[in-house]
Amino acid sequence: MLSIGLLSSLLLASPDADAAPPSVEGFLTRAEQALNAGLEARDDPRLARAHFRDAAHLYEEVYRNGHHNAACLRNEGNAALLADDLPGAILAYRRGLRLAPNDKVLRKNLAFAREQVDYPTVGTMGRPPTETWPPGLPRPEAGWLLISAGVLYGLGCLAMTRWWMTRKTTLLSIGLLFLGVTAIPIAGLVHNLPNESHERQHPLVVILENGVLLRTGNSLTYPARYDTPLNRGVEARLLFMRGNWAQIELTGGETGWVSNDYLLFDKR
Amino acid sequence: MLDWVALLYRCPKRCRVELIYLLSLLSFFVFHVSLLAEGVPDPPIQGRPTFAPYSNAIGSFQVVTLATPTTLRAEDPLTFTVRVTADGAVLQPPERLDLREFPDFSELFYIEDQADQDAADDSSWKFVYLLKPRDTSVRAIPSFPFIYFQPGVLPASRGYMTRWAPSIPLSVRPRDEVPPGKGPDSLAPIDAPPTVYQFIEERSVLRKQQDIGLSPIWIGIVLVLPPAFCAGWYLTWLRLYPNAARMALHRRSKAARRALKLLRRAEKKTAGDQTRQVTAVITSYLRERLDLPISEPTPAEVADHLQALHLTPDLIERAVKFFKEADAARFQPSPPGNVALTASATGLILSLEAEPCSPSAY
Repeated sequence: MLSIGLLSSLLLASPDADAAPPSVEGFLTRAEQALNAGLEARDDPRLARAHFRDAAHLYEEVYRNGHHNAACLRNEGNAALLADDLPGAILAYRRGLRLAPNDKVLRKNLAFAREQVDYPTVGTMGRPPTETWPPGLPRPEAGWLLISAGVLYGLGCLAMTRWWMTRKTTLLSIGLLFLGVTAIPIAGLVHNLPNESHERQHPLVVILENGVLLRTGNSLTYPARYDTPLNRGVEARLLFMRGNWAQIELTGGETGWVSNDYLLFDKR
Repeated sequence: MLDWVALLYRCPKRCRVELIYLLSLLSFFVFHVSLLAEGVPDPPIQGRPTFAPYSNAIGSFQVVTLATPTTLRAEDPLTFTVRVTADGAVLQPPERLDLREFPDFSELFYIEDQADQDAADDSSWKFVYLLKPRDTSVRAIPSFPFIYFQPGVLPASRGYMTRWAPSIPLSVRPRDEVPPGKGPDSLAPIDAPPTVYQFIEERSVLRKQQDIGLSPIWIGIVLVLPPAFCAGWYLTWLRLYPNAARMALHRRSKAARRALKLLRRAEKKTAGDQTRQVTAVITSYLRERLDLPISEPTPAEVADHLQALHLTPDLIERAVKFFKEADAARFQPSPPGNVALTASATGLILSLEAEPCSPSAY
């Protein structure tokens, strides 16, 4: 009884007891204020960076509160880039492109951010994959492919049903045509399926510091697997976690262990 | 041995040089023939140097090294080539040395193997490495020992030989200073493209964009929904338009479909032609579907044939009636329009196709 009384009195006495949790709108307003403050303080780089860093963190809070959209991630990436947080910017842009693969601004900003990364002068170790998608051709999104397949399949079914009713050969041709064309988005989906699965199983990680070595085991006692150190902004995929160490794989297939302190993780 | 010395002593002075030369040649020949006869000797463990890795080479060798460039910035790469050349017979070629095993190298350089650029022939071997000076304190590529085994030395444990690859001086400059505007105390992305300064306003940022993945629920909906809708549509259509449905059903019979098509064409012809064509179509249909053996049957013959097939009396009566009407129309002096005959023919075909025990079963 005494303990209940003490607890209730403590709760009542607590200054935050009746304070409402910060709302998403609140985070957003503060983020925009921080951005404006950063832009105004461009003559004072340290101060400007601090404001941009705050803005990036606040946009991340908005995102974590369920507002998953490419616009939020683009703002976060831009703010991080202006705050000289290169890994944070690259991660935000990559997450944004996952939601909106055809966002040209996101892609352009990601390319600029990657230009700032100090990749090894020799070889391709740590470099991001080269772009093979034809420029100008829209990238298929899983959602749109599924919708296209559904619409074409539905139209095909309707035409075939009408043909069954009327036995007009034109309808049969149209139905078969629609069902045939359905194979295109389905092929796109099937093609994307392994990538999607791989990305979910092995989330993106970004190197946070310069001069990080990939080691052969999960401790500093293990020797470096490659002599070439990795610099901040290098992208990789997470393979395994063991304690405070992560085994990562670079785009070129090089693998090794890195302490979690040097990694920025993509937490979906 | 003493005989050889006595021979040298006895022979004239001018012959001694030639004799020594001949003896040398002979001993060289005997030595190599004996090696070939014995095969590749197995170098002993005893006497093997431990201060550096052994190259596994057996024979006699020289080592030269080459580095390009020798003036560079810290962490920039230089190509380091080690060339090993044999002095004589090679019983076992040298293996590629791992420079990381030389502490001087691993402390001063980042080392990458370029084994794909290695080359070899019968008497020389080229090994290529990529070295990156770790910092500006690096003044030279250090000398390193190349250890090989030379057979024929007695005792064998003294056969291990060491050739020192020469050191190569280097001039390592510091890396370029970070230009103003890119240093940590300035606004780093000042040259960033304008798109980096483009921020999106409130409404879009608070949107909740669904990441439509390939969830089984969505795939199930896409797969099941259209056929289910179509099935419902078809059932509704059957209920709303039963005759149309029946016609469609009967059109599945190829003979019926063809007959109905010809009947539609016959409607456009003159009365006499129409009567003849309608009769021919029905006769052909009956021959095809019910194996009527007669090409120009009378109503009685049609009735007999249909009765033999156990068709319903109503159907038989309709068929007989049709043939009677057709005969009447054909043999009248001036036949009237035969729209009724065509309709009668169409009805007869549909009735025959709708017979529960379908004619196709016969």
